[in-house]
Amino acid sequence: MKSTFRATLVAFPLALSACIPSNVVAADDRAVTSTTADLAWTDPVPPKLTGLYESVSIRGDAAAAMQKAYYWFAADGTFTGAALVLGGGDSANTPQFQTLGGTYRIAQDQLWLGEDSEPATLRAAHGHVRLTSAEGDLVLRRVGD
Amino acid sequence: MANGTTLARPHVARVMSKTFLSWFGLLALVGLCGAAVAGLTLVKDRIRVVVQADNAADAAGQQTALLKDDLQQVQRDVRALADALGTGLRQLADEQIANADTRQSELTRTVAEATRAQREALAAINTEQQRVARAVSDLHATLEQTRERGAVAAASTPTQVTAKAPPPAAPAGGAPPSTTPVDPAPTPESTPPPRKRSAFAFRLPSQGFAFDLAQRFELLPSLSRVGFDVKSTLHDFTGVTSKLSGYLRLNLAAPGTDCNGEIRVDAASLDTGLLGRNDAMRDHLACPQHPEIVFTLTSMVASQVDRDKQAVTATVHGRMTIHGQTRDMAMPVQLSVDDSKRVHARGEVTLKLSDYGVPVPSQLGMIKMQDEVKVWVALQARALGVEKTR
Repeated sequence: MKSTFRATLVAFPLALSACIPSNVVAADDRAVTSTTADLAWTDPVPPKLTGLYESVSIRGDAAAAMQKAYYWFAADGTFTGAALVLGGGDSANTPQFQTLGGTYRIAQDQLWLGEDSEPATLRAAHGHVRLTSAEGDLVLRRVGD
Repeated sequence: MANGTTLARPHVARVMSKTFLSWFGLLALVGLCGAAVAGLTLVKDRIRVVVQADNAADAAGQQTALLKDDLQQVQRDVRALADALGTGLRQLADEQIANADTRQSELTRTVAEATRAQREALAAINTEQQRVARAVSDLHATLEQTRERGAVAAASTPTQVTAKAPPPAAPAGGAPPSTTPVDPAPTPESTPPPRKRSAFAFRLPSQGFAFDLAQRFELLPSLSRVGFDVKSTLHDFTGVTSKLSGYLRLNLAAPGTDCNGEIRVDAASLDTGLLGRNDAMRDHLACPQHPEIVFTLTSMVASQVDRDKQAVTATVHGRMTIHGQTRDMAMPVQLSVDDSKRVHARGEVTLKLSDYGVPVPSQLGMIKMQDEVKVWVALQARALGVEKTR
């Protein structure tokens, strides 16, 4: 009787522990990955961009300076934006926000932001828009109206 | 008497003949002498002439011979001189050729040095130009910020709100849109023409990321993870956190030169997936007393630097502090740069908890964790600024 009790006493925590599965993270899954990689970018480009967008991915040369960007587009063709830019302020190591506003225009899948900027190729996918130019690739997610 | 006569006749004849012969001999001798004198007289001039003619010929011959000899000597000298001159010219030509090679190599070296110096000067000028461009860009940004602040201040008054109302809707495919704020523009004489904005409308600085510059990389906590993998009697598990901070300062092209850095991890934020296990871990790590796990990078030894792929394989050396105990540690890492100009650092190393005074967790003496723990990092960092030129 005593031996059965001892065996039960030993086996119970072992069995309890065995119910807990291993949860080792695989080496390939350790890094944080981008969530925009699987977007198809096949949606038709909207004639107007309305609402608030935030950047979820910045790639290319612009990424060296631009850390984050927000844009608000109005139906009347105006927009305002803010970008956290490194190297544009007093200290090279301290990013600062740049803000601006103006009018935007979409024509032939090209987006002009202001009169003195180069156009960027515009694509869309599932609530995201993607601006591509020689300076980089900016993916914006629509986060509000 | 007859005998006497007979005897006298031969004697007279002999005497007469003897006398005759004496006279005849004398006359002959005189004649011969006269003839000799006459002949000598006659021949004297001829002899003189002949003698004189023979002496002149000899003298002329001697002079001719001397002249010939002199001429031959001169010819020999000329030939010797010509030979010497030819030899000298050949030597001179050889020396010129040799000197030409030397001068060619010296000239090539001089040109190469001048070219290098020119390139360095151009690089210095470019660097200075970039610095000036950055300064101008900073000045522009400051100016625009000042304008925008002025515009915001102006927009706060009702009259100026009307003045700075948003522009009408953009024309469909018409003229390029305008950009606000539109404060009174300074006179063209006072400001340079504005630089074209980027496609994203912002005025981005020209300074970008460079693989071969010493830069300070700030860790991005939201894109970084550190953790540990452990094995125990029944199941293995991972503890992970993104609650970290720190920086790396290095030149990716030459990571072994003058690099340093620091990574601070909030020990209590490590999550193993089970609350009870997390509590036990915090107890073992004595988190209230030692809230941070710190790794201080002191040096880096690169085994491979691929400039084209912008990737580095290296071993980082530093000091790891866990549970208040500090030990030397070396971790193999792979560094790479992604399209967003972020540096990725991945690596792992196995260490012993007992080396850091961390008691090895055990449940009832039967479910026991191994002393060896695999610590790993998957970091992303952004370059904040160039610390020095390449």
